Amino acid sequence: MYSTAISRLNHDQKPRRQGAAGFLAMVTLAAASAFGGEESARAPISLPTDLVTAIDPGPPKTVDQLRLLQEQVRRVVVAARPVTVAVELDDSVGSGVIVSGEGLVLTAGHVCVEPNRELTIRFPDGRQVVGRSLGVNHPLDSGLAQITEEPTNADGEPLKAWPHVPLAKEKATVGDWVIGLGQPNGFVSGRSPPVRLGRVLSIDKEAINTDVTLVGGDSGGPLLNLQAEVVGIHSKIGEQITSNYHVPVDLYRANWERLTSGRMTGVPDGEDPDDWRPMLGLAVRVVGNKLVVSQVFPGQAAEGAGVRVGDVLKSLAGEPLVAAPQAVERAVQRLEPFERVRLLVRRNGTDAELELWLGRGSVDFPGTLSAREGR
Amino acid sequence: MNAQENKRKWLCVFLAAACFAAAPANAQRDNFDETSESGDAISESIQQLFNSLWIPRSRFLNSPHLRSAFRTTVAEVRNATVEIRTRGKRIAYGGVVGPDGWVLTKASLIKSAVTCRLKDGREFDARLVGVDAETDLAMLKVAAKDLPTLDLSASQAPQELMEVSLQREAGASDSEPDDSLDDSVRPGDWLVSVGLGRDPFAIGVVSVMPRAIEKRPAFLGVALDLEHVASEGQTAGVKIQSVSPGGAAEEAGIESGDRITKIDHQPTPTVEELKRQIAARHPGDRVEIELIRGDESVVLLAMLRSWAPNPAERRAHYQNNLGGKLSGRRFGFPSALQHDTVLEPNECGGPVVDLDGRVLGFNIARAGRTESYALPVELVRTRLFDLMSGSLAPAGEPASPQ
Repeated sequence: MYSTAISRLNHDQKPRRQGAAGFLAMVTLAAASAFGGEESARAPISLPTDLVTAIDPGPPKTVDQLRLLQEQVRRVVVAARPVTVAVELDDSVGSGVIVSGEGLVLTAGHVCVEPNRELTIRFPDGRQVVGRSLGVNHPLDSGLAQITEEPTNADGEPLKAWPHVPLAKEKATVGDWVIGLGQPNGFVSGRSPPVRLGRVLSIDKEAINTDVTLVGGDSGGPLLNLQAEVVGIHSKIGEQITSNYHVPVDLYRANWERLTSGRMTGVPDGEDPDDWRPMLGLAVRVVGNKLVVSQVFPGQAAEGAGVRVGDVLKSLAGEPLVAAPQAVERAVQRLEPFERVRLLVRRNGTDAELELWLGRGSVDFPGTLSAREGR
Repeated sequence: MNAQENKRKWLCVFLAAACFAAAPANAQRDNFDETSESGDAISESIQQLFNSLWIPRSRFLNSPHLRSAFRTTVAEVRNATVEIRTRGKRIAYGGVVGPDGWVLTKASLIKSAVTCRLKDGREFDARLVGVDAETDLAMLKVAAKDLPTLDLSASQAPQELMEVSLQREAGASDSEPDDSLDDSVRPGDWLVSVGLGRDPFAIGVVSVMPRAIEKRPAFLGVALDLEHVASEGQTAGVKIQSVSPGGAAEEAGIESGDRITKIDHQPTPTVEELKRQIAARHPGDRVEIELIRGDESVVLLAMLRSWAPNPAERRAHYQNNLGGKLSGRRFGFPSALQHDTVLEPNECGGPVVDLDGRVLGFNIARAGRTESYALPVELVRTRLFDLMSGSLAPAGEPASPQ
């Protein structure tokens, strides 16, 4: 309802002009979920019963009650600040939070822009690690990224798992005390993620509204409850100082399968869906009754999956490919950009099944079908 | 160092994005964003009205309900807090730092004669005795005796020792660090802005422990004619070739062809000298510009800007100005504690205290949508002597009504 009047919190962003690049092989998807049943997930910090009484109902009324709340906020800051990161792409800067020992990073959809892009994850002390964007849901503004390096501490020594904070199992409720972290105005050397405190003012289906103040660069940063659990991810602001909106974590949960498998839903605000067509990144020619790969384009999906010139294409996503010039285009057209599919090829007399993470193209290109022709 | 370089790299990326990569479609998109954002301000306010009808006031952090819980916290300090006024209107807060009428406040808010109003209702004419440009602190003197005074002896707040804390924090398992009994201030702690009232006028939390706040370059928003040489008999000055739309110069009424001869009474005979004068100032500083237009001599007042009109900075500027006004002078402090209290620019200058009522510093700037700055009390202490002694006396005596 309010999305049109509200400005997204990206620090700067321009539409991408080129297709997705990078090597699929580098990303090993964490099969384990950061939700339930995960042993490595960090437990929420406990909430003293005195504090529960002090903040329910209504705000604290005495200095002693304020002190209880202050002590709890300190604990949340200690737990969550070191795992609040800056998420940097070549054309956008935002924030994120590590939510699993495998290095899954929750962020905003408009920070990732699209799946399968290399990004830099920057810790508060400036240390950088490499990551890759996984799933993105633009209508909800949710995004997921994965640190692709082995866990290390600030000195570069190996760790068993990335330090992280858990995702909240319960939804936020109106009146909850919440702590906001992030990198407002982008990463600033020598500044830890600034702490902000507020309350949940209202909740609707798609956003939590709080008086935790946000600004560009905060997008993707965590909104935490008093148990240091992530309840929301910073997304948008409006004209008023109390117009701060966060994507509720339960929407990540509802969408978890698509997020972890690196799928994209919708397109970035104001962009033409025609610029987001599925792309394989290869060209074929028909030789006799075979479909033979004649070109593999650098940096595209086919190259990432290990397709080579000379491979004979047999099926894509379970659909047999007939030996016709348009066969690949037609098969790709039925898929979504960034869908993960299997490609069966015959190479040197043996069949090989390749895992393929489709890319996207904005122009006519071998391996895609033009919008006019196709749809 | 590395981080510093990276930051520079990012700045370059932004600039590159703005200058080169921005295809026409992109530029249009940006414009579209800006117009739609302001155009939809009405529907946004309707939304807000709707929301405010449904959200009880007690739910906001800055509600009177929560502020009243801090009543005992501010009970003592508000006796030594003053309102700085011009023509009966508050322009700033201040704090009494000496019993015989010494009042500390934010310097750049004082533009004409001021009075100091105490909690007991007495109001005194104030004399400006010292201005410290580096911290933007000003010392006022009023003719009063035995005033309640702020206790500025609070122990050193820990500096932002990030790497150490990160290692400790990141290495920590589920066991809680034993810092809840510690006496020193921590990020997330309550920070209370004290006024004259029973309850504080605003509250927030410590966002970042004290750190140096970088100075930002200030812009006048003009292109200079580098070829220009003053003809015989003309006062030497710098000729304006063009005025950038939306910049400080345009706002002040400077036109192309004008020749700037002085900035704040300092002659600017050369391009280098003019640039030096601007570079020595901060975004938000007001400068008096003397110029020659045709045969006329004109004096204009301009407020320097912190941003050059490129899309990335425009957006950052736009977003930081959503939800309230910012202080003119808000960058370039030797040390400042960042907090999330929502302040009006004219609410700066007064003391901030922790939950125990200890003075931690003085509000010095509303710096962005998410940030306010307070000068730490240990920095303030080092400036008191110079501010009182007259060694930092202002050049003119604009504020000494007798």
